Parts: sequence; structure tokens; C-alpha cells
Amino acid sequence: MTSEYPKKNYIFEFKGWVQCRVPTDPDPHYEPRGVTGYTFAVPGEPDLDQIIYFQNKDGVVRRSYCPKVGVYVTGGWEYNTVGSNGEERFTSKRPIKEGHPYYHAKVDLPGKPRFDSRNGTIIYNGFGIINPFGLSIEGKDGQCIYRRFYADPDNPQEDLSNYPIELLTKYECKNAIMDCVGMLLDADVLQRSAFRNERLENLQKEYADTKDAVKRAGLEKRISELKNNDPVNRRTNQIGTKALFNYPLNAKTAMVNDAEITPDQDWLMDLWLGGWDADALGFYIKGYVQVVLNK
Amino acid sequence: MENETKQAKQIQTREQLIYALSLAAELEHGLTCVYLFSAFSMKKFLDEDINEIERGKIRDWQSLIFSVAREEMEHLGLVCNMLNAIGGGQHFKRPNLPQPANYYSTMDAMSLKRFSLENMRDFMDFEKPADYADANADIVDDQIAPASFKFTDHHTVQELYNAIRTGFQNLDANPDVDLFIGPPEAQIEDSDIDVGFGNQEYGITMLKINKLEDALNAIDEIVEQGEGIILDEAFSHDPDGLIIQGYYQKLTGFIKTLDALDFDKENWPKDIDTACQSVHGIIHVLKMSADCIKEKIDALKKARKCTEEITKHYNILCAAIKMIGEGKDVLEKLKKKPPKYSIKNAENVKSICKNQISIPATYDAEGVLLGMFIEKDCHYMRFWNIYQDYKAFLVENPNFEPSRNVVDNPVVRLHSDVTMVDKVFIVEQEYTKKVMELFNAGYEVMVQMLILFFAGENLTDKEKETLMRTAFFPFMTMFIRPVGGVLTQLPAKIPQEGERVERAGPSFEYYINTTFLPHKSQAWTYLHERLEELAAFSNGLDNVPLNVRGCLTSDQLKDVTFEMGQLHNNLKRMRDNFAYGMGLKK
Repeated sequence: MTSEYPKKNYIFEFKGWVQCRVPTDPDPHYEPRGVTGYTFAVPGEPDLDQIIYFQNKDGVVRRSYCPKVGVYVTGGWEYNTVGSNGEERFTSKRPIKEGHPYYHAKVDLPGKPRFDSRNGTIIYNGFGIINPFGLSIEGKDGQCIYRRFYADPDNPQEDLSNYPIELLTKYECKNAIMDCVGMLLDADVLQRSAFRNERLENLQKEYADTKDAVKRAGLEKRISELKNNDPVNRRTNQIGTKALFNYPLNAKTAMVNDAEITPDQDWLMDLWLGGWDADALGFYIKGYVQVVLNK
Repeated sequence: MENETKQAKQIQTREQLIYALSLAAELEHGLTCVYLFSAFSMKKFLDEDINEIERGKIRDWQSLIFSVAREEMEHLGLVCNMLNAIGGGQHFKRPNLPQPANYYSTMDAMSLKRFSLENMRDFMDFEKPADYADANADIVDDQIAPASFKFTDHHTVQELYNAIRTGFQNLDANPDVDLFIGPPEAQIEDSDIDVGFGNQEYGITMLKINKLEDALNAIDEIVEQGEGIILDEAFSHDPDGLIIQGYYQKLTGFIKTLDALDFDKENWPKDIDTACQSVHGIIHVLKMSADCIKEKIDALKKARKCTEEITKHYNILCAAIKMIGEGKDVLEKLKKKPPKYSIKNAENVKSICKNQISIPATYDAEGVLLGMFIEKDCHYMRFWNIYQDYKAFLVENPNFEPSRNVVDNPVVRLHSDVTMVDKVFIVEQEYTKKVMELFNAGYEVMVQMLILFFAGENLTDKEKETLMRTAFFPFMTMFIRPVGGVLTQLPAKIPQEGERVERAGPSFEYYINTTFLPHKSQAWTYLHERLEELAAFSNGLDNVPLNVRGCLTSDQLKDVTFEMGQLHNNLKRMRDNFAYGMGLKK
């Protein structure tokens, strides 16, 4: 039995609510307040910044009665292997659960990641490409893993407009399922209209007790948007949509505990987002990443 | 005899119908420009002398106007399909603006004006429902070409569509005419403008027109969305008028109750009968009154002044309010399967109304239509709501100014088709003129793409998709929209000291070479060249000259610089994507 090619591997499952204060089509992608789409900065709030926040940090604007932002490792496996080219064997396995150093590790997208499509100039698909996309997993004891995705790792570019549309199209949203029951359950949405109506009732009570004119104007806008609860309308319809993304973490280098390494293979990563909540300006994600480290 | 005369004035030939549809296309196109100009003129930044609450409200109004403009574009698309269906050509031509009211015989001149109360009144006039559901535009004379229409004074767009409707019906009924001769594959349907997750999100419905019913459905869509005619909707399910009679009787009792209470009906429509000409109307009146009556009675009860007589009235009121609920159910049922408008129904409406309820529309002291009950989300009502909302804001703050100080009808140069020369402002500032030139050239390219897209025949799926993915998204959202907004910030001329800055705007200037390009491979080369020219022309426009900077607020300068920088990059990208989609060399 070979002892060559020993590798340390992880498969992390991560999930949680994310914020992305983004204007929606047909607004230009940088419209600061939201005008013609169905997402808005309401009076008293800063401009929409389009940034995808996996963690609750500067820039997150949490509205009343909306989910708390935070994506964490919720399960998976740590396992060791030896061998290569179809000869791989497990040498140990350990589930990632309470007590594992990566259990409940913070998952983040450092930098200022956005859904970059620029209204169909970068890529036609409305979700665009999340750019920059670098996944960081930070355990409770300070251990950390980070690696980037590039559309072309041999020619890494920060601005996607440097890549032709035909290349980027390979990484567009793979699939979108409307009214995905599993997603509704995972995100705790359960029923689209009821989810919005529950929020609406809470806001109406809050409005009755609110005296400040700007806050009232903000609540009025949120309430009027929530009242628009036609199941075919995007505001309600999109809560039920699950969209799948598949970006291999493929940069030539990665960081493990502050040390730069050069992995010899891509790390597979896929995630879906769903439960798009136009009032909270956020969505739920669930994803998986496979980390392969040479021992 | 009367019928014969009436018929002689209706559209009876293909040429007349093509003429009428071309006129409709021109009106829809022109109105889109007029509405967009108004929306672009609205303030956006807190340093433009507006507060947080006003900014939120302005944004809501702007969103409504943009939504109307978008639907006008949908109407233009539907008209293109109708033209295609009967063998006509795509009509995207339109005169430069402004044009006087007599150009189209409309109530108001068609001008590019900043958002204001007056501006909203003009828009309401354009979208006003006709006083009678079947008011028609008439053919002038017995003539062969070109067709020409005589409208009633101050005609509405609806009259033109009613004439088109009649024309389709007449020609379809004529055994000597094969009306629908256009190739169906040349028409555009929803799936051709797939901008993701279904077009219903954008309120766009593109219908193919292959038979009379399709054409009538398309006209319904246009008229209901614009002028919001729903009179027949209530009546078509109630041919004998039983529902309306029942509600009317209940309401009469209810009004007596109000009289007994000596209730102040100052804010009610002056003519209750008119207001109650449909189920919708009755429900509206009841709704309008229910809350305030309840309040009044509650107050009397609190003060222990509620007599037996009042309690009796209160009970009648409760019954009436319950009736509102029933009314809602009726409406919900009607909405589930909306009946389509037809002359037959309109005749029913008229005969019922003649016996039961007076029909003419009533207006308030300012001439705002009150007595017609129409789809609440139609264009007319959207403008009406903005108008009322704006007036309410002015009560709070009489100095509230939601739009920038944009001049009327700014242009780069005077065009020979414009006769209202004194109403035009020829922009003097060089940088602003350059951005306007860019806008007009981009508009021209976009329109040429739209003509090819809607002409449709002989396009491969890939070519059709590439045209759609250039002209719609991103050209409308990433070119027309941002540059339109930038232009209303830029000075039309550099002001003298102490003078208020007068700002320019998107002039939508139309040049005669904006036409159908019949040979598609040459068209792709030409359009690609134009995109390249636009990209080159936009280079460096993010470098705003000092004298222009002095006319901008800090937020405006940030916005103009950012937008123009983005624009250059985006135009390069659109050029490359177009080349890829059309299979041109890089």
C-alpha cells in the first residue's frame, strides 16, 4: 500500500444570511438609491453599495425584523488520503462538528465582492459573476484558509471587463430553480407571501410607534413595497428562487494560516443562493468547498 | 343613413390602417421621449436643496414616470407587430421636438420639459381616457393616399386606437381582403425579449398578431395600460346591468344616510351619479367615505351623543361597508378572467348608463378628471397620483422644487422640422454640447438596432439575441439612462455672476439617416463602426472642464465624472460583445 502523495483534505459546508444592498434591473447597477427596480435605499439609509457581505461588518445596514448577517461552517469532513490517479485511499476521517477547530468558522468574501454584470455588458446573465471571489474560512483559534477564483488563473484580472464575454459565460449562474422547496426550508422562509406578510405586520406596528419623520418615511416605503405581494411580482417571486454558482478556487497560490502555498489542484466550490429578500436586501446561501493540501 | 356616414369615416383599407398604426407608433415613440426627459430632470442628491424625505418621494415619482415610459416602448413594440402582421413597415421615425398641438391634434404641444405640476397636467392630458369608450378618430375624406385623420379637438391617444380597432374589425370582416399577410416569424414575442426570469417583472407583454383577436388583445393591452378603460369590464359580466343596479340602489340608501348625518361631502366628486357609473365607481365612493364616517360616529359615541337615529345610520353604514367587501369579491372574480373590451360591450355600457346613470365625465375645478373610474394603475392615474402627491408636498413646503432648473427643449442645433423656433434652447456650453451629441448619436444607433429587431425577418436567433442584448440591456439602461441623467445636471450655458444655472437635457434629436438597413451583414458592420465611434467619442468625457465644474454641486460633479468614466468602458464592451454576437472580427 502506497504512502506517497499524502494529502490533508476538508470538505466544508457553510450557510447563513448574506446582505447585498444592490439596485435591481432595470436600474443601472450603481444606481445609489434604487429607482426602477424593486430594491431601494430608504430615507435615513446610506446609498446602496452593491457589496456582498458574508459577515456583519462596516457597510451592513440591518433593517428591523430582518435576518442577522453571518455565514459559518456548519458541517463537513476532515480526511487524509494517500495515493494519486485513482489509487487514493483514506487514512483517516473526522466529521466537522462541535469541537472541531473549523466548526462554526467564519466564512467570508474579503474585498468588495459584487454581482458584476453591469446590466449585461460584462455578462448577459443578470446575476453576473461574483467578483472578486475569494473564500476565506477562519476558525475560532485563528487558523485560516483562503484562495481566490479567477475566470482565467493564467491571466488573473481584477476587472472582469478585461475578459471576453465568451470566457465569462462559462461561470455564469448554472441553474435557477423557481420555487425551490428545499431552499425555502433551509432559509426558514417556508412560504413566500406569508414570510413577507409577517414582516409587513411587524413593520406596521413599528410604524404606529414611530415619531421621527425620516424613520417614518423609511418605514412607509418598506411597508408599501411589502404590500406589493403579488406572487408573480419579483418582490415575492424571487424569494423562492434558488440559483447555483460553481466557481473553482483556482488561483495559483492560496493562504493557509498566513503562509502562502501553491496547491497542485483546483479546490471545488459550489454554492447556491436563495430566499432573496428585497426588504432585507439580502439572501440565504448554502455552499460547499473542498480544500486539498499537500502534507 | 347615419350608419353609412359613420362607416365612411372609419378605416376601410390596408393603407389607412398602416397609416393609423404608423401614427400610433410615432406618438408612442414621442411620448416615451417626453416622459423620459421629465424623469431625467428630477433631483437626486441631498446637496440639490432637497431633504431625505423629499428625495425618497422624488424617487418614487421618477420611478412611476419611468414605468410609464417603459410601457410606451412596449406599446411601440406591439404597434410594430401589428404593422408587420398586415404588411406594413416598421415606423420609428418621429419629428424633432417641440411640436405644436396641431401636429398630432393632441390637447397639448409635445415638448421636452422638466418635471413640474404643469408637466404632470400635460401628461394627464395625453393619457386622458376618452369621454366615451368608443370615441373614434375619423378618416377625413374619400381619398386614396395618404390617409388622414380628423380628430375631435384636443383628441386623446385612445381615439386613435379606437379607430385602429374599428379598422382591424372592418378589414377582417371584408371577404375581399386577406388582412394578416405578414410573416409571423418576423414578429417579436415575449421570449425574444427575455431579460431574465420572465418579462412580467418589467410589465412587458409582447403579443404576436396573427388574427383579429390578437390585434384586438394588443389594442386592449395598450388602451387599458394607458387610459385604463375598464367600464366594460364590470358590464361585460353583467349584460343586464343587474349588479350595477343593485349596487346603485344600495348606494342611494347610503347617501341618504350621509345626508341625514349632515356629513360634509366637500371632497367628493361633484356628480355622485357619474361617480357611480360602474361597480368600481360605487366601491370607490364607499371606500372614500367609510373611514371618515366611521371616525365621525366613533367620536359621537365617545362623546355619548350617539342617538338612536345615528345608531340606525351606523348600521346602514356597516351594511354598506360589508357591501364593499362583496364588491371586492366581484372585482377579484373579474380580474381572474378579465373580459376584453369590445364595441358590443361599450354599446351595452352606454345603453345601461343611459337608463340608470348619467355618463359624461366630470372634472374638478382645475379640470382634473374625477368622474370616470378606471384602472388604478393606468398611466393616467399614475400621473394623477403624482400630481396630487406633489400638490400635498407643496402645502408643507411651498418652495419645494423637485426638478433641476432644466431649460425647455434644449437642442444642439435647430432642425428644419421644428416650427416652434422660439420654444427651443440652443445649448451653448461646449462640453455639454459634446455630451448631447454623444447622446443623440447613441440614440440613433439604438433606434437603428430596434428597427432591425422589430423588422425581424431573416434574422438568425443569434443575431436577434445580439440585437436585443445590445439595444435593450444594456443600451437603454447603461447609455440612455445615465447620459440622460447627466445632461440635466450640465449647464446649457455658463451663467453670468449671480445668475441661476440653466441646465440642459437629453434632446432625442432625430436625424434623417436613422432608417431601416436592409442588408444585414452590412448593417452589422455599420452598427459596429458606430459603436466604435461612440466609444472613441466618449473617451475623456470624465474630465469635466473647470467652468462646468463650477456649475455643479459636489454630488453632481462626483456623479458626472463617475458616469462618463463608466460610459466609455461600457461602450467599448458593448462594441466587443456586438462583434462577438454578430460574428465580426475582433
